Amino acid sequence: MAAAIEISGLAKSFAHDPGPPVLGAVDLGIEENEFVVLLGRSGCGKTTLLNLVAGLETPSAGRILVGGTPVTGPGGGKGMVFQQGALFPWLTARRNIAFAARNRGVASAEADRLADELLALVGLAGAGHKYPFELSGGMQQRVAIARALALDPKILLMDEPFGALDEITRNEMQDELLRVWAQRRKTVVFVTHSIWEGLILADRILVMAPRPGRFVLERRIDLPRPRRRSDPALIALYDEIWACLRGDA
Amino acid sequence: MTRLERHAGTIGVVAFLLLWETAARLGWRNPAIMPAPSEAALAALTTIPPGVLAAHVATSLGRVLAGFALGAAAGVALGIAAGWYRPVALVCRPVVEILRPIPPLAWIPVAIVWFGLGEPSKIFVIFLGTFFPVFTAAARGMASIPPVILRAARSMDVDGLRLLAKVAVPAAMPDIATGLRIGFGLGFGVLVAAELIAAERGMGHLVMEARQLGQLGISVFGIFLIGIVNLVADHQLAAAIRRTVGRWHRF
Ligand SMILES: Nc1ncnc2c1ncn2[C@@H]1O[C@H](COP(=O)(O)OP(=O)(O)O)[C@@H](O)[C@H]1O
Ligand SMILES: [Mg+2]
Repeated sequence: MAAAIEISGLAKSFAHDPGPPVLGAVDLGIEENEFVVLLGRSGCGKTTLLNLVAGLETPSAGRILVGGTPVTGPGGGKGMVFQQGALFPWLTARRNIAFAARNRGVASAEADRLADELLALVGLAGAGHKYPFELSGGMQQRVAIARALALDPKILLMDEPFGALDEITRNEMQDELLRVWAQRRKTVVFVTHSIWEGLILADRILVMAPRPGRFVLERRIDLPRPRRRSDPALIALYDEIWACLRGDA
Repeated sequence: MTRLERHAGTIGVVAFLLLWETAARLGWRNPAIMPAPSEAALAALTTIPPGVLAAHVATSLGRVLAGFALGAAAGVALGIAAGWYRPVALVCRPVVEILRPIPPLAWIPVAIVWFGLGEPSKIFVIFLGTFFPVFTAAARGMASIPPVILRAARSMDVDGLRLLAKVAVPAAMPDIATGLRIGFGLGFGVLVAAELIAAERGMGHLVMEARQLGQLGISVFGIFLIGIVNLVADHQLAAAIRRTVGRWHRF
C-alpha cells in the first residue's frame, strides 16, 4: 500500500528557544487509512509534529511527504481538528461546515448539501441552525470533525480533540469517531495523552519523549473494534506504555 | 423576576420625582433656583411649541449620528488595521496615545477656526468623542482573537485578505460592538457640551438659552430630555447589537 505520510529526518527548533530541539530527527511512515495515535506528556512536541504535517509550521530540517508530494503549506487535503473553541462562533454549525467546503471551491448550494450530509454523519441532523455556544462540548467537536471532513481530506490530523470533554462524553466520542472513520476511511493522526484513548482507537501507538521530541515506543494493535477495556491484551499494553511514560519523567 | 422586581425601576423613578417635587414645594429651595419637576415640564411644554422641541431633538440626533457614523467608520477601519498589521500599530500607537486623553471639548476653539461655527465643527468634536473608544476596542478585539480560531482558518488554507475579512473581523465583532456603544455614549456627551457652547439649535442649546432667559424650569426639562433621548438611542443601538452579534455571542 502507498504511504499516506512519509516523514524523514524531521527536526524542529524555534527561534529564541534555547536547549535541545523540540523535535529531533524524526522518521515516520504512515499507511493509507491507518489510524495512528501519538501519545506523550505535555510539551513533548506532539502539536508541533501535527502542525508540521499540516503545513502550519516549516521544518528546521528533514522533509514531509503527504500522498507523495512535499508539504509546502496548508491545504491539499489535510483536515485538522483542535481541542476546543476552534469553530467559528459567528457561524451556525451548518455554516461552519459549509465554510470549509466553499473554501475549496465547492459551489454554495452544493456546500450546503454537503454540510447537511456531514451533520447527519456525525449524528447532528437538525442541529445545523445552532451556533457553537448553543452546543455542548461534545456536539461542538462533532461539528469540528464534520468541518474537517468537508475539506474532503486524505488525512485527518486531530490534536487532543476530546481532551476538554468529560470522561463519559469522551468515551462516546471515541465510539462516534470510529463509526465515522468506518464510513469515511481516512488516514488519521490522533494526538492524546490518554493511554486508554490510544488503546481504544489506534492501529498503531507511538509514544513520544521530549527534548528532543522523539519516538520511544511503537506498538501495533491488531485487535478488532469495538475494543473492551477489560481485554487482557490491552491491559498488558497499558502497563507497558505507562512504564515507558513514567520512565521518561 | 418577581412582580416587585419588574416594577422596581418605575417605583424608583416615581419616588425620585415625588421626593424632588415635595422638596421643591415645601420651599426648601427657591423655585427660581430649584423648580419642581411638574413646573419644569409645564413651563417647557407650554412655552415651546412641540415642533420646535422636536426640531431641537432632531438637530441633536442628526449631529450625533453624523459624527458617530464618521468616528465609528474611521475607528473601526483604523482599529482593525492597527490590530492586524503590526507596522500600522507601531505607527499609530504614539499618535493615538497622545490624542486620546485630550477631552474632545478642548478642540472646540480650534474646530471653530477650522470648520466655522456651523455643523462641521460640532460633528468634528463628536467624531473625536466616538473615534478613540471605537479605535481602541477594535484594535484590542483584533489582537485578542483566540489563536486556535486563526490556526483553524489557516489549516483550511485561508490566508491574506480572506483571513482578515472572513475570519478575523467577524471574530473581533463582539469587541467592536462594545466599542461602538461606548463611542456612541461619549459622542452623545460631547455633542451636548458642544451645543452648550456654540449652537443655534439642539438640546444643549435649549438648556443654555433657557438659563440665559431666566427660564430655569426649561433648562431642567432640557437636561432630563437629554438623558431620556440618550437612553432611547442607546437602547436602539443595544437592540441592534443583540439582534446581530448577540445572536452568537453572550455579552
Ligand atoms: N511557537 C513556539 N515557539 C517556541 N517554542 C515553542 C513553540 N511552540 C511550541 N514550543 C515548545 O515546543 C515544545 C513542544 O510543544 P508542543 O508541540 O506544543 O507539545 P505538546 O503538544 O506535546 O504538548 C514545548 O516545550 C513548547 O514550549
Ligand atoms: Mg499539544
